[in-house]
Amino acid sequence: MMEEKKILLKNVGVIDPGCIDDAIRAGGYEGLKKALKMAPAQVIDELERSGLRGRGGAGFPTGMKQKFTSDSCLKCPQRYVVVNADEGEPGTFKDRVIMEKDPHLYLEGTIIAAFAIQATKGYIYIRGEYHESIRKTEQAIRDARNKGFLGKNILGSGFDFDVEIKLGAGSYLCGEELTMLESLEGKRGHPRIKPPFPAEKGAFGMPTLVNNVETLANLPRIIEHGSEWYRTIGTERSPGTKIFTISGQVAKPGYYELPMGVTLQELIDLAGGMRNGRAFKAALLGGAAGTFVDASMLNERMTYDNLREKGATLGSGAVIVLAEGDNVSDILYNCLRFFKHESCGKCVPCRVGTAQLVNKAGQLRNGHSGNTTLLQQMVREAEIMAGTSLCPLGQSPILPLESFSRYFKELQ
Amino acid sequence: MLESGYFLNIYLYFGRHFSGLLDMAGAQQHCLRGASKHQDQKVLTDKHIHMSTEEIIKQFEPAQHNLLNILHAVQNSHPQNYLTEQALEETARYLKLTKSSVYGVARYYTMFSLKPRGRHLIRLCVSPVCELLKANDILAILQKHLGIGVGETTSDGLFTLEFSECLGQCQEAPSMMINDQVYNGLDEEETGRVLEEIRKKK
Repeated sequence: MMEEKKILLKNVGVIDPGCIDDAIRAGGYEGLKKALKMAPAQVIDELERSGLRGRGGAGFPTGMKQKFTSDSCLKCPQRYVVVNADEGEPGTFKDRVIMEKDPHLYLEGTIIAAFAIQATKGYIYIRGEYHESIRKTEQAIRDARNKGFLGKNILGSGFDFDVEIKLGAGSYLCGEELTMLESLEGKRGHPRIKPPFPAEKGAFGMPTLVNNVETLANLPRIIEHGSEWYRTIGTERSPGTKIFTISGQVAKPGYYELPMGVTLQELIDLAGGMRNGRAFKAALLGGAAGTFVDASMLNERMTYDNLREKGATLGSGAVIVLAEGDNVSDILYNCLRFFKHESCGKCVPCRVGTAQLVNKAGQLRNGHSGNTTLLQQMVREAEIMAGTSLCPLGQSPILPLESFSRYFKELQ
Repeated sequence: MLESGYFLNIYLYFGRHFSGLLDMAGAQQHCLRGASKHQDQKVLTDKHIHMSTEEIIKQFEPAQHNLLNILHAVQNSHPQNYLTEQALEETARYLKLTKSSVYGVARYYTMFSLKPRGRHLIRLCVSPVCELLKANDILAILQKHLGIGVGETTSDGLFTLEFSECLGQCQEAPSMMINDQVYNGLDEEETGRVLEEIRKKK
C-alpha cells in the first residue's frame, strides 16, 4: 500500500503549534537562515529549479511567479507578499491543518518568499471563519518577532520584513487573487480586470506576490534540502508532495500528504477504503470548482497535467467520494447553489447564469423529463458564462457540469 | 508533571471540544511564553465586550485597508452580533470614507449583519460533504430545538440560525460553528447536548 510522505506535515502532532521553541527544535527557521546567506536571485533560481507549482489550484510555477514579481517595476517604492489563506473551496482543509498545527512552517516560507523578491511588507489574508488558524497565526507572528525572524534587520542580515493579518468575512470569491487584493484594501470583493497581474500591479498598485499557504510551506524544505532533493519526490512535471483532503464515503476521511502522482484508488485505500464497504460511484476532485470522475479514473495518476489531459482537475487537492446509492445530481445541485450564493453580481452572465443553473439543476435532481436536453442546455449556458465572466467564479460552473454530463448522463 | 497531568485529566474529561487545553498541558513543560516586547497585542477574533466602539476603532491605524478587521472587531463587541448604524458612521468618520462605501462593504460580506442577531450565532455548514452526510437532518433537529427558521432569532434572543459555506471540517462532517467554536460529527444527541450546554451557560 502507498505510504504517506510527510515533508510539510512532518511536525504535525509532534510539536506544540503555540510554542516557537518547539518549532525551532524541530528544525524550524533553518531554511530561512540558509536563504538569508544566499542572494535573493539565488533563492528564486533554486525555487525555479525545484519545479514547485502553486498549490492553490492553478499549478502555476512558483519560481517563475517570484521572478516576474521581483523583476517588475524596479522604480516602485514598495512590493508586497500576500499569503492566500482564504481557504474556502468545498471539501478543502489542507491550509487549515498547516495553520493550526504548524503555523511557523508557512510563516517561515512567507519570510523566505519576501526575501526572494525583496518585499518589506506582507499580509496574510485568512478567512474570517477560521478562528483557530487566526489565533495560531497571531501567536506565531508575535513569537517570530520576539525571536528576530520578523522585523528590522532579520537575524542580522540587513533585511527588513513584517506581516499583518487581514480577515476575510465570508466571501469565497476573495480567494481569487485579484479579488483578494480588493478585499485586503478594504473594499467589496469585486474582481479586477487582468492583466495587469498582481506581479505588475497588485496590492495598493505595487508589485505583489500572492501565494497559497501550502505553496509557501514548501519553501523552507526546498531551500534547506535543495531543489535536487525536492525533485526526487513526485513526478517530473509535478514535483513534491500534495496534501489531499479526502472526505465523504470513505472509512477514514482526513488529510494525507502524498507524493504527486498518486492514484485516486491508492488515496481511497489509504483513507481506509470505502465507508461500510460500499461500492465506489464517483468522486468530485478539486471541490465545487472541480470535476466529477467515475470509476474509470480510479487508476489515473493525480498530477496537474495528467488530470488536465483527461478532462479532470487536481485543484486544491479536495477529493469528495460518493458511493453507490448516493445521488450525484444532489452534489451537482449543491455546487451550483454555492456558485449562485457566492457570485458577486458584477458580471451579468454570472449573476443571471448561476441562478438559471440552480433552477435547472433543481429540475434535474427531481428527475423531470427531457433531462438530456436540460443537461445540454445547462452545459451551453455554463460555456457562455465561462466565456463572458471576468473571474474564475463565473468560469467554474462549466467544470462540474461538463464532467457530470460526460459520466452520468445515462443515470438521469 | 503534576500540573500537566491535571490539565490532561481535564482534557480527557471534557473531550475533544477543549483540545486547546492539551496544547497548554504540553506548553506547561517546556514553552516559555513571556509577555511580548511589542505593543501589538490585540487579538482579532476576541470579544471586546468591555470596550466602546470608539475604543475598539482607535486600536487600528486609520487606513481603509483596516476596514474589514475593524468591522469584525466592532461586530464582535456587540452582544447582539451586529453592526449598528452608529458603528458604521463612526467607522466611516475614523477612516475618512463615505458612509455609503462602509455600508456597501458591510452589506457585501456575509459574516457581517446590519440586523440584531442572537447572542450565540449558529452557522450550519451546507457544503456538499456535509449535505452528503446528512446536514439536512441536523438542520431539522436545530429547527425543532430552537423553534426558528434559517436567518431567524429565538424569542429569548439567545440563538440565531444561519447557513455557512464549507467550514473546512470535512473529515468529521456534518459540522457547525457556534460563535468561534466548531462542533463536528453531529448527530441528534450531540446537537441537543451542545445547545443545552450553551443554554445553561447563557
